[in-house]
Amino acid sequence: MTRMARIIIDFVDKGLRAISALCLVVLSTLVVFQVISRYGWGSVPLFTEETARYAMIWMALLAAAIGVRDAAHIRIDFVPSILGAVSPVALRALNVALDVISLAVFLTLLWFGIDSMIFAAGQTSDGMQIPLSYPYSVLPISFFFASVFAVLRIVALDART
Amino acid sequence: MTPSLTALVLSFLGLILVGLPIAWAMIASVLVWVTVTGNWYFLPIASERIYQGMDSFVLMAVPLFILAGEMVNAGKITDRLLNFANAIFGWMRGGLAQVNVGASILFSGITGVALGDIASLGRVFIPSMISQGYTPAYAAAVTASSSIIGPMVPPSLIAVIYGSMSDVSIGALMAATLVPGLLIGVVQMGLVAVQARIYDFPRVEMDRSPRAIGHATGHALVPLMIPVIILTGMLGGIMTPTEAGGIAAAYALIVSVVLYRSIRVSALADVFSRSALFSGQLLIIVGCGAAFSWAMGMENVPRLVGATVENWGLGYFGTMLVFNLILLVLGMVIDPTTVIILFGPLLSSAAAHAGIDPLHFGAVAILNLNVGLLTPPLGVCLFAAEKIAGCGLWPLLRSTAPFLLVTLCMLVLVAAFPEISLWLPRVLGF
Repeated sequence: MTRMARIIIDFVDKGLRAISALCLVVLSTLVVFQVISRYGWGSVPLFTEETARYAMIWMALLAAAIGVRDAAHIRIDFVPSILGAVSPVALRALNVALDVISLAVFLTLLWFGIDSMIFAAGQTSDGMQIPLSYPYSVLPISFFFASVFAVLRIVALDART
Repeated sequence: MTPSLTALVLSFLGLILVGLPIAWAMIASVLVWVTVTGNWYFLPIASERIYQGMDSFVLMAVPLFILAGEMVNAGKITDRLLNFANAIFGWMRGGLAQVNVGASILFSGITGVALGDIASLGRVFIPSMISQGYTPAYAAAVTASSSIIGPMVPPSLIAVIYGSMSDVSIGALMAATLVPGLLIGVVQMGLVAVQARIYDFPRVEMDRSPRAIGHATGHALVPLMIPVIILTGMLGGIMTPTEAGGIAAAYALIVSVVLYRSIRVSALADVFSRSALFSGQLLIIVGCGAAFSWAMGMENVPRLVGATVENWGLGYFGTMLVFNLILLVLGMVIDPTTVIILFGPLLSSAAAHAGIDPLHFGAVAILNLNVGLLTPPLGVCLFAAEKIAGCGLWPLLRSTAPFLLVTLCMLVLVAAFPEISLWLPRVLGF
């Protein structure tokens, strides 16, 4: 079971990284395109700025989910590092407690992210004329994966530190 | 303070202190706050704030500047800048220490992140300074102290975030921090020169014929165009900061993939992936910070702070002094970006009540918070340099103290004389 689980987790992990990098490719291309089109033929299509903004939000939220797995989020590790020097067991306990708090945050945001998404479905975007629920769907999606990664850290299936 | 506001602030401070990532601590404390107020309908609003806090065209300059910087790092353009810095600063006594400061100024014009400066320059300078007879602690101290020039010289991420949070123009803010940033470089170089006389530091031996110097300059010219593109594009009104970031990233891509062939196309995916992850870590704090600020707004904190400052009646200098002390303490324990997100607009509008120009205050705040990168308990730049030099924290603190002192003197001057920061933006017509 664990081997299968590991393969799936690694696949999801790689996929999220690829999509988030791809979003950065899209947003940088669109921004450069915007400059070229303004000076090249004097007008900018409506959709560029909007699509670039959506790409950035997708990139940032998916990267935030990956950051949970990598434990890469910016934090003050002053107390944990002192605690680790005094008692490694206490540090392990603190880390589990922090992961549990994070999980509670992610599950709340997953729940209310779905709420926001449904609410946004009634509006249409100015540029691409799509329902706003499409871009908003990244809220529940990324906090779903953040929850999964937090659970993996808590049950210590995922050995990354 | 109302009970709900107390709960919001205390739970946030408690959670970041025990090491919860700052972004999640913001949301967790908002959850605590909602529980205390009992207004459950606040929760969907808070989640929407995260999205809306990131939904800004201006903020897009953050990933684009990071991408340009990563591209430069991966493209091994660092060596070219080092040779150039050697050619122009290496002739002085204590040459390598001077080159270290000088390279920080040049390099910061490209990455705009203090820590990135240590990661790439520190790994080059610290070992070579030690091999020339400098103590490891001194080598680390010069590297760490000069790295804080980075966020002062455009393109600066912290200026982008500050500008997107308040109504100060990002271009004007970058112009306002440029002169103080360069002055800190000059003052630090002056300090190195004095120390070089006292301790008899060596010079750098190298070919200093006009031809060799011309060669080094020519090689550095192409990467040095990046800050030039950003500055002229933005300050000349040709592009927005975001577009300037995009063009700089495209330029760095063309230079390192096509011109120098120093990044293989296969390694390019890695550059994009790393930039996306790093940007995500900053942007999620911006998003979660928007939810936190919204909660503080519901508690009328901005009005309270403004009224308190007016009640104090401290006037211009008193307010400047108190706010700087507050920022110094905050900067010692929390990283600069987070302080800006949480307190930048708040303090800025309160400072405006006391007659302080928002642009001037922005420049002072950015300089002030970067000083915190050099002080314990959370001096990330100190720790990063210590990790490379392996000199122990106490010797490093002793060697850093003189640099910290001259930098603080500059902070006092910049805070006391608005002209230092406001001159350039005024000349440029902001």
